[in-house]
Amino acid sequence: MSIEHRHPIHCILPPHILDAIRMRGDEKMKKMAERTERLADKTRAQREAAAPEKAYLGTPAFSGPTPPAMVREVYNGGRRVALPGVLVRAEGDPPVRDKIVNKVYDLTGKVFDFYLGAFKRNSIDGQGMPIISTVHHRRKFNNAFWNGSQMVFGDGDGLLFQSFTDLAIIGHELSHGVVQYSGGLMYKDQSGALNESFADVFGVMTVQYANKQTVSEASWLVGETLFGPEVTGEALRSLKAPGLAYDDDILGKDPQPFHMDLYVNTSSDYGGVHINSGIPNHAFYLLAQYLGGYSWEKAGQIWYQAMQKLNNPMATFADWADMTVQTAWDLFGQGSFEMLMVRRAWRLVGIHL
Amino acid sequence: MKSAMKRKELKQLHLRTTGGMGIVLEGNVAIEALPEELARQVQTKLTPTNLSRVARRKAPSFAPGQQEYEVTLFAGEKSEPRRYAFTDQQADPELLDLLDEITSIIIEEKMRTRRARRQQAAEPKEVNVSQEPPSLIPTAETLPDAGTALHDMDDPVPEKHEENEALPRASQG
Repeated sequence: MSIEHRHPIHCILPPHILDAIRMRGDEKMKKMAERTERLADKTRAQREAAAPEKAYLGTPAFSGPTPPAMVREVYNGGRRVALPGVLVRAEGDPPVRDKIVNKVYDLTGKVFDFYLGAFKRNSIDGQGMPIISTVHHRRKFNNAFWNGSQMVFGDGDGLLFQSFTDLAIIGHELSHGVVQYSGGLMYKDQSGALNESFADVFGVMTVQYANKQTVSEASWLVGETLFGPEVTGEALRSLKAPGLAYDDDILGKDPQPFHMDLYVNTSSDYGGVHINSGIPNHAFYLLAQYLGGYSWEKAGQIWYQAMQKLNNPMATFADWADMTVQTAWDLFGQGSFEMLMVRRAWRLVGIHL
Repeated sequence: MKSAMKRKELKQLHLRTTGGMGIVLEGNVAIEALPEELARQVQTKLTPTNLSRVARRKAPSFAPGQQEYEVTLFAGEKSEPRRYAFTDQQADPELLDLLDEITSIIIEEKMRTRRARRQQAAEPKEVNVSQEPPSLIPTAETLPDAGTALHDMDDPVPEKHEENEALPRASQG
């Protein structure tokens, strides 16, 4: 069988390095990365590769007398591929006829409130970036994604999946934007799984914050309203029990591991970014249970601040775990209960620090 | 000569989509089972040339959760299957529309099959004598009628049936 892949190697720099530069560099560096790939000019590639990457110094927390205003824009994709579509509701506009548009408008507001209220973050980039969403993307489209500048939601096929406009999913997609503007994580292998995990963790925390749920009251599920009535499963993912969210004869079984012993080595799904994210997901769940109360008050603070400090787009699970322990130390003190519980949570998923 | 150079018609394809929230959907589609217009589109758009061009195209930007596609083409028993992998950022809008349509057909077919299976499982089972496993014990139905098999009546009963002598036999009725 002949197989054709999408990454022809044209240049000296590996694609993930160029991706990192495209993601984190300034305009000039982004152009450089594109040129490097296009021209495959070894000399130029080597010279420009030596240019220092822009260091990420953390998103400054909002501090001011009046809370920042959110800017939301919801577009109707008209079941077509082109983005963003037609603007149907902008910030301050009254509700429109389309219920999905109104739902996304309201729920993106809840995600904004969560980031501002829990972490003093002013929108996706920390600087009041407009929150742009497109609904009704393509026909019967079973997906939702962050394309680097906006969120995109499909309607689902109506059989296996309903609309992808669930609060945890909106929180998940917007959190991909937060990762991007917090130094970024390469969307591949372990760093990609960390990117997915951060999005899951902050997606479920958005729900908990909106409903004022404690760690023991929360469901810890992502996509609870996503499945059609005939699907056998609770949700798309479970942070509480990775691998047990669904078991359906069409969708198959939830493939997520909860421990490093079950880590899945695969080339598909960008190296299993949606699969192995179960491991850091479960570590966060365990930590939240140990610390109790509201997840965003302690466990969430550790995860959020760690992301602001990480500055390593190719971080492994161990790098990330190290950073969370370091952050717990910074926030709560050396040898604190919180710090010890972070270490314990990682140990229980097979990451020994 | 001309016919020999004619492009091989696609008989079947396998589509696998992943991405977004990590959902994996896949299935086989027999081209002849598709509606005529859709089959025509599949034959013209899902060609090795087109898919090869799409697979080689550079993905324009980083996008967490973008959809990935794997299309495997089967042109016949004598042809080697060809697989192409690409993302939705590499594909043309027309191709994505077509893939959405095929995905939808795969899901509908799977749902139909599942419903039929569940319905069958839920139906009360009727005891149907004809569906019972065939018995070795001769009955009125399995024994030859009296007129045509008189001489057989004198033959000894096959050994394996001897243990069932106590059971009624047609000749004893």
